[in-house]
Amino acid sequence: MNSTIAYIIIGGSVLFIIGIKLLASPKTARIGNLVAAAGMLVALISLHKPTGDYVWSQGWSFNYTLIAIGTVIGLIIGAIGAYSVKMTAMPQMVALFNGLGGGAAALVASLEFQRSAHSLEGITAFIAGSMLFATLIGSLSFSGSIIAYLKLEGKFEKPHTFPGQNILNGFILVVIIGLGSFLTLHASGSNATTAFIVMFSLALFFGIAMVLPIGGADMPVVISLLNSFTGLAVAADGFAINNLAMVVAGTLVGSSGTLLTLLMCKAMNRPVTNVLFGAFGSSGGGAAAATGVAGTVKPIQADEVALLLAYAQRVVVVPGYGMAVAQAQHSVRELTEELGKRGVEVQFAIHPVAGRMPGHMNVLLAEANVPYDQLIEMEAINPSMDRVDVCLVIGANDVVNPAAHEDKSSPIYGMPIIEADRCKTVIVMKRSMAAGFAGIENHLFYKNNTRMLFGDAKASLNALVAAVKAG
Amino acid sequence: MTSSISVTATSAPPRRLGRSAGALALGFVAVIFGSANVFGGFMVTDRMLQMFKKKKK
Repeated sequence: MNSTIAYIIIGGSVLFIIGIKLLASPKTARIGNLVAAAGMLVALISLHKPTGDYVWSQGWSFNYTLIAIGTVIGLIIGAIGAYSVKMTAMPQMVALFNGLGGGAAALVASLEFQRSAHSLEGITAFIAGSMLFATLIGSLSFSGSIIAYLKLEGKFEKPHTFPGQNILNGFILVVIIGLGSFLTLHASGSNATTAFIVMFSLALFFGIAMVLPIGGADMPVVISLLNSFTGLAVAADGFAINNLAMVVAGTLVGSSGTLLTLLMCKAMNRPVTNVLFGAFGSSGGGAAAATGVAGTVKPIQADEVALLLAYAQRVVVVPGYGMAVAQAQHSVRELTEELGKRGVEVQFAIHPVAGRMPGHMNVLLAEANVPYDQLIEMEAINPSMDRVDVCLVIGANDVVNPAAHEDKSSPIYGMPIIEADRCKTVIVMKRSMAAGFAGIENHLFYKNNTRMLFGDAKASLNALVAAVKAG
Repeated sequence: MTSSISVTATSAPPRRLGRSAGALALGFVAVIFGSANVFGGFMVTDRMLQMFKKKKK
């Protein structure tokens, strides 16, 4: 390999790693992202140098005009998407961008496979394997991300399941692996192209079938998983076309995505297989509802809540997806500011899987100018929940459901929750008594110290702000 | 756990002159996808992160 290019690639990789390190703290995160972007730019520039012995597999030539046009079109699409998307629609946009990356990786691998399979020098099993792996994982990530995007747009939010779904999916997977193994060994055989097209289509279909049954609270896990797939596909691409920059970048994305996925699964106390194949809420929900919950629901009016809040010492807000839907983050900030002026200590309790993407609540609250140090992670806030006077649950449901501790038959039994039920008073803001995504009755609503404030979260919060100001 | 949102999925566009128009067209699509992914990913991340910098008070 040409040593200049090797140095450039190492430089880019170092920038990626420094960037990711800086992303770990909110103070330096923005700089970290820019450093990583600079690393990407360096890596891209290195790719535009076609000389150098083994940087490219043989037979590559460049159509700079098409590359430039394509890059500019992509830049425009990316910029429009990134800057026009509403803060509440962020999870969809993240899913869509990730899908495009997976699609690109799959296309690169398929084109390279077709070219080298029919070239004079032939193809080794290792290179063929890398290309097929990238094709598979990349196209799976592409179609899966599109479905995730549509689900988050609310097209078919409900999990879709049918009997034998896992068996069908398993069968498709076996066929895909079979075709992949065949192609690895017989890349240039007479049936290779047909087998390849069948495998590609099945991989696309498998991505759809895999994500369709998953919904709601499991979406952050799926998005993170698809993200790691895209990374792995890019890394395999890098092996296939002998490009170190792609190996490094792909591995970084793949491993960080995998770690994040596992971290979130741990936060829900469910193995990743359960998220993928367990289709929450359709059958489990009915069983849980049948057990019934003792107690009655006690409604409360906004002016009473305002009084409780105004004379509290410590208030904790538990935000959830409902806050995002109601676009209530600005009203929440206004309320907490008013309370702050009166000397009330206000904190936000953030559950690792609240919302529909990793860090969803943090982003929404940051948009509304809530100071970052008011956001407290679940493990950090739970020990002191006894000393909280009022806990305000806004659009969160499953993440505060004490059934996770109390009810062994509950599908969410064992999941770590924010222990809102231990606060002196719990106010739950909710539109109606409908069950949360998991389709499980929430025991919290029936507790003696819980009051329900029914209505649109944003309207309720505005009423609270007015009442606290007046009082 | 610090929640850092890294949507920096990456992919480098392919650069080769395909033998057929079909391969060329697909490569072109791949460049568009990859470019949208890279630029869009970094820009959307920046947009999310810039909201963390403002401290009240």
